[in-house]
Amino acid sequence: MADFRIECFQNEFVPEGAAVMNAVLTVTADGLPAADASPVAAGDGRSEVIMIDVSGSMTGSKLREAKAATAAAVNCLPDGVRFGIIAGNDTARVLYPSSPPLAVASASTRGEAMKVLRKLETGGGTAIGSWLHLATFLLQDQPGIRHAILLTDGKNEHETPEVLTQVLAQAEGVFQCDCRGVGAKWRVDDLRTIATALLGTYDIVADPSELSADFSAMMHQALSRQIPEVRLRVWTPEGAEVTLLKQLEPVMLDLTASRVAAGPQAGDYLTGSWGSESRDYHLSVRVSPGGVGDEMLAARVTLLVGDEAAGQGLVRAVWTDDVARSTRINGRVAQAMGESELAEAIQEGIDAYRSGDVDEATSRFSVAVRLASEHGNDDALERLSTVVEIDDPATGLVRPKSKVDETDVMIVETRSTRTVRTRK
Amino acid sequence: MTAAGDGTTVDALVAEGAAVAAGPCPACGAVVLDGERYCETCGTRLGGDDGPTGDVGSDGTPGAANATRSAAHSELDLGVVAAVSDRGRRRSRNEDAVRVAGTTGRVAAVVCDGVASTANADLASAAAAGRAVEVLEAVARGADPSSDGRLVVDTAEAFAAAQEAVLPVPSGPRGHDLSPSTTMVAAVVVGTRVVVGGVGDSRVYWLSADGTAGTLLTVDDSWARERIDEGMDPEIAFAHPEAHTITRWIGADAGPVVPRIAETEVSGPGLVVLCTDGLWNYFEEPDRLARLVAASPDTSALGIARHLVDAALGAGGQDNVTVAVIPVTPVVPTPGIGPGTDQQGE
Repeated sequence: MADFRIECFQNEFVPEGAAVMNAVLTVTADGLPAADASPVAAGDGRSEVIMIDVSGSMTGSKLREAKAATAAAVNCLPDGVRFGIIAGNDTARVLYPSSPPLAVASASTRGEAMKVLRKLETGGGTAIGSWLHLATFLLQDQPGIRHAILLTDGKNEHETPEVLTQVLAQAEGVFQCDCRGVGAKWRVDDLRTIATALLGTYDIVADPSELSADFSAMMHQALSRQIPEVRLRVWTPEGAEVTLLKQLEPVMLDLTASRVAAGPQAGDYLTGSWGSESRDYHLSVRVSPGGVGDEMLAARVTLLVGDEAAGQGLVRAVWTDDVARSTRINGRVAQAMGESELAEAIQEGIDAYRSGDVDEATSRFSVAVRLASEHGNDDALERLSTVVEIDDPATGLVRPKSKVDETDVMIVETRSTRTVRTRK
Repeated sequence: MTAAGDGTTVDALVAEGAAVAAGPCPACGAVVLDGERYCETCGTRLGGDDGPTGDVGSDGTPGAANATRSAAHSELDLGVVAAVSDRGRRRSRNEDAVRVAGTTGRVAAVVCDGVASTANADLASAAAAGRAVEVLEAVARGADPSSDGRLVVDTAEAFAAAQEAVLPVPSGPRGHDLSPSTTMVAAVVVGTRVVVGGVGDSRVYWLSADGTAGTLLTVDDSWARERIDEGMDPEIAFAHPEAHTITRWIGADAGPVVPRIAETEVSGPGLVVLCTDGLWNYFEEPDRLARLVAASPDTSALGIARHLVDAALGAGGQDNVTVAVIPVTPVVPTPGIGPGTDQQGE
């Protein structure tokens, strides 16, 4: 069975007057089979829904590859897993099974699903909230692990943001959702909002021919997760406040707003389902500063697997005037903060670029290039080189690029929050 | 304060560091349950056991098992030897450890200073001191005052034992690179024969009771000492930022521990004083230390130890400060006819 542990990385020593404690909490689960090990035993403990965009813009290779990718994902499903396919445009309908809510995977149901997919037709606009609403309906009474994949190619322009917010509030905790955008006409913001609320990933698939491999990988990853729900319960002293709780891996997700009160001084944060994996969380807590020599427990993070406490991480604060102890930031915390800083600089650059402010965009990209160079983040540097000419990475010397491909802008924006293991 | 009968080894730091009483939180007044390390309302540290690494003593190793984290101030008095250890004014934790044992005319004392930049330094110092004093108590009890050289060899054994005791101390979960490490000085006093040993920069002094003279009995293993030995002016050496960097220590990454051991026959009444650099940083000169001791209003071993610690705190108390004091009177104990009758049980 799964073996969970939580570790806390921080420098508890802070100078006089310091009020914010930063820590990286690493949660690790061991002892679960790897993604593509033996077929999942209890298939009945798992439900999968695939939401596929069938709006009018899904034509040609996009539609063809989306169908193939959905088929590939369905083919990954072991017997016994309940599943369904939703076709979405400005409304949503259950494409498969014909008798909702869900079918039970077998050779014959997988075959039926393939047949239905072949006949798929497109038209209409994009209202993703309606797709998610239908998925919530299909999944809400299912036992065990509930997971969905969402694919779109366009902006969520046929419903108000308020509708999406409302739908997401109902879907939170019901299922997790990995989101993919195909092509370059969708909005990263839309998918980031959904993935953050529904504890999934979001990414661009620029080339439709890569969809099948991506869907299979996503499904394998989902199937490897066998622990339905793990929560972080954060206790803080009276008067203290959690100012940030951010998942750093596999993608950065700001979970701060998802807090659900768990007693007078504690709050729960859902982390979704788990397989054998390790994820880092960046926690910031604002406390009332103590005097030199004082020690305080700034936060106690309890790892709850189901309702069982599986471990505890203590974030401490010790105020000191011994500069030697307080100057050095913990390496893991430094890395987490550096990655966030880089992601912010990139997003600001993208926003400025989209609003036509070339000077501001260049200036923000310059900061991003310098940070990426400092952190040895070669992937980020390579991506940035597609939107700005880099003369000297170390100093952040960059020039505007004469011609920028919109797809590259999308890739830079989407991947900026993907945490990578850097060479340093 | 802990008082113990003759021949008993007492953990000075455990004496006051273990209990966490139920009652109101000193900071916010909220109810605190017995055994809680932090106030559940305001988060204030309640003393007693330490935070994330608090359970490391439960691994069954002899040294670490009893290594309760130290309280801010602790005292120990066996009459024939006394010790005081204080967290100081700047550090949040006392990483010094002191252990003493003895009967009249046969005393052992060990003072350790956990190296602050290493993980679980307080557990390392406690483990080293605890094991070393066990060895040295037996050495003091069984010493034949007429057998030359034996005491030196036996005292060295205590350092090897301390090194072994420190090995199981865990490095801690917070990404420390350096093994848990500590300095150690030890003294065995049998009659007027004084054997001292040291690794690192804690010290042992001989101070005449009348305050006229003091002698440093140990040699620091420090950057400054090494430079001075190479010919550098002491004033320049001690002013260097790395002056107090220790060059040898007890710890898993220390290599073989070769303590510097010295044996002295003292004349006239006086005090053997073991201390960490929390004291001698302020009163480096042996003669000055002797004058300071002579000025103590309370001339008991405990009174003198308190006087020295208070002086260090008064001078700034930047570091943990620990002092052990062994009064020596020029009476040679002979088995069975010594001033005490403590040796009968051997």
